[in-house]
Amino acid sequence: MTNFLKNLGIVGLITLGLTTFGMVINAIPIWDWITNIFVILRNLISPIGAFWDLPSLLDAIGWGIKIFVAYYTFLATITIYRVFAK
Amino acid sequence: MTTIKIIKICSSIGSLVGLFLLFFLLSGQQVKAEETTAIVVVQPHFNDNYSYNGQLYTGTSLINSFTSATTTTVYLTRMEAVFSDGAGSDVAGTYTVTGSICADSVCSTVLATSNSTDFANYGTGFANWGAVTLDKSVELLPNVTYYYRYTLNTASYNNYIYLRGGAGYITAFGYFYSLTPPTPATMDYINYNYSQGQANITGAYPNLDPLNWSIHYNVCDTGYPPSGGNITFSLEDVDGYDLTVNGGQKLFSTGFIGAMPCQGDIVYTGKADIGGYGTSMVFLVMTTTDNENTVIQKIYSDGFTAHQSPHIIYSNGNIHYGGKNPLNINVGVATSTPISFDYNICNQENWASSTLWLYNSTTNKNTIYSFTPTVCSGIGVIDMTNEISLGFNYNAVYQIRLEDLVLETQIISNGFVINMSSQDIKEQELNRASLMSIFGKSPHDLACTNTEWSTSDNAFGINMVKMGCNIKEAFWSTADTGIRAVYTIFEVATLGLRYVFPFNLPIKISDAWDKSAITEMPSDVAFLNQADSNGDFNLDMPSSLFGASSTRVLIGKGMLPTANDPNSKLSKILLGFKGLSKYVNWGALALGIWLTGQAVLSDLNGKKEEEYI
Repeated sequence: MTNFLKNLGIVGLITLGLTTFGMVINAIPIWDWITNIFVILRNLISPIGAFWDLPSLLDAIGWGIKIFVAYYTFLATITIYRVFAK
Repeated sequence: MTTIKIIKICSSIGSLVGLFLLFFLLSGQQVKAEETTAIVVVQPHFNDNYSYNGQLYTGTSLINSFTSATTTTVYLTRMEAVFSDGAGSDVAGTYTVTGSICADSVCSTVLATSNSTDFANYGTGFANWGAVTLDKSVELLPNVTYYYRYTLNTASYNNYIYLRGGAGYITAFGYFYSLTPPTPATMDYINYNYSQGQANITGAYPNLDPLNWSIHYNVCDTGYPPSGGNITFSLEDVDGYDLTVNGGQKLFSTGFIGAMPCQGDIVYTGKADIGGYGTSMVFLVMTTTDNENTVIQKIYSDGFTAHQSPHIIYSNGNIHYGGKNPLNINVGVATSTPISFDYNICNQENWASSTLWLYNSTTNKNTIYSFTPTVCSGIGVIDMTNEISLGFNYNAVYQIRLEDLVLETQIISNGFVINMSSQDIKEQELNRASLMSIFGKSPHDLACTNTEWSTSDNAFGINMVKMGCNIKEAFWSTADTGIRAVYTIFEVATLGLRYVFPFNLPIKISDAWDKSAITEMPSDVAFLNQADSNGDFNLDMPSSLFGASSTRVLIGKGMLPTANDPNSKLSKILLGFKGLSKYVNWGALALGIWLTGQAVLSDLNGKKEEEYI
């Protein structure tokens, strides 16, 4: 019972922390900034477009990121499982 | 990822690049100029010189073109008449010709009359002829005989006018032809409507009014081209001459039309300059050709004059969806749903490698459906197949968007809503998370048949059959409710989390990327955008070093002087190399996945990566 309450508290704290962080993130125009960064990125890579197929390059990078995120999500899930399994 | 591994990946990518460099000279893309064969508008042609004074001419049928199944509009555009005097002497002077289409042989009912046309100082003998152009049309029914009469009037000249071979003078001459429209050979048609742009022509060129021209077509009968064929929309004048606009362009044409429905509605929103044709009759012409560019069929719209029509002014860069809105889709039916639109992306330098996507403007994402243009302006069709429409985001606003990753102008169509049909919505609602969807029946029907439910057999005053049915119905209802509840929890846990930090991060990042394609940089950081409109980085050469200041392209397509010429060898080489680079990109991803997999295995097994690589 003690362990259960302790784990419940950990989950609650994590949820509270994420929620608070998410609220802070949403309160600042971070996604506008990221969008502008992407605009600059498009501008920077545009000269390469004369010689290189940028759409497929960006697609490939996108899939690389997805696989990367999926792998570390998997690791995080295992880690959380191990914490709660103890 | 260790430094050694990064070096390995980079060297592998470099090797692949080198390998493909050997082959890029063998590759090249050639843009084939599109040509269509022009044929002349069918025109009734009169050239008889013996019948006169009310005699009925019953020669060959003079009308052989139809634009609809039951009725047709015929334009008598040109007529040749041969005159001479009966005494063998030529007479010069002035006479007037007026044409009429009559419902009977004595012309008691005039259906249409031309403007009077004056002819003066005609020449001698057979050379005496004049052309009459009727500027009115009449709707003729097939298999009904009509009559055509033209009238000569010499009121302005007191000499006699004779038909060649005839005798006597005339001041009003009845001259009849029978017009028997044949049974239409095709049910195909093309019509148009326009909603704006009826301003009169001013000056040599029309006003530059925007065009919103709704075109309805049906070529299902005989004019539907085979795969690889083409459909071209153009304008022709009354003499059948092709009205090219803006320096020789057709209005618009399709490339591959394999998925294009044989009938439908399109809206042409481009503009075209038809200045100089303000007072002449103009026809919208739909030409279908096969894959060898042979004309299969030309069909004509009703005629219009430029001052009646929207002034068609050509402009670059537009996509327009003119179909039904909302567009209802029958989900699950083994058919496809083509979405037709017209587009013009000729101002896009790399239009040949661009893609037009069906874009969900509600979620700010492209769908899986797209159209690859083969000509820079024309009709595009995105075919939504119902098999993969499962999970499609219905009840959302969609647009057609030109996928353009770098710098060039973003072109996006007007929005339209895609809905499921009402029947599909009901079925989806019923099937969603329902156990009953497995059996396709309600708990009531699943428990017992109608016969069992309606049985009246009683045993000791109790209907055992019906009681059993009630028990089974309660069981199925409970099971169904339980499954619905489980599904709802699962739905909240999965779909709901998409909007909760940090699970929303991938979605937000993806959205920001899409949004960046159509976002202008804030002015205070605009200096970071160094590429010019061609995507080149330029370098200003100082005059202190090079004598005269000049701007040179540092990197980009502009650094190659001949690259802007699409027919140059260098441009073809660049296009070929660019095509091959696609395989390099995906090859590098595959290599990266393989190397990452090695690292994952080593992590999981606790071994050093050198044992795997």
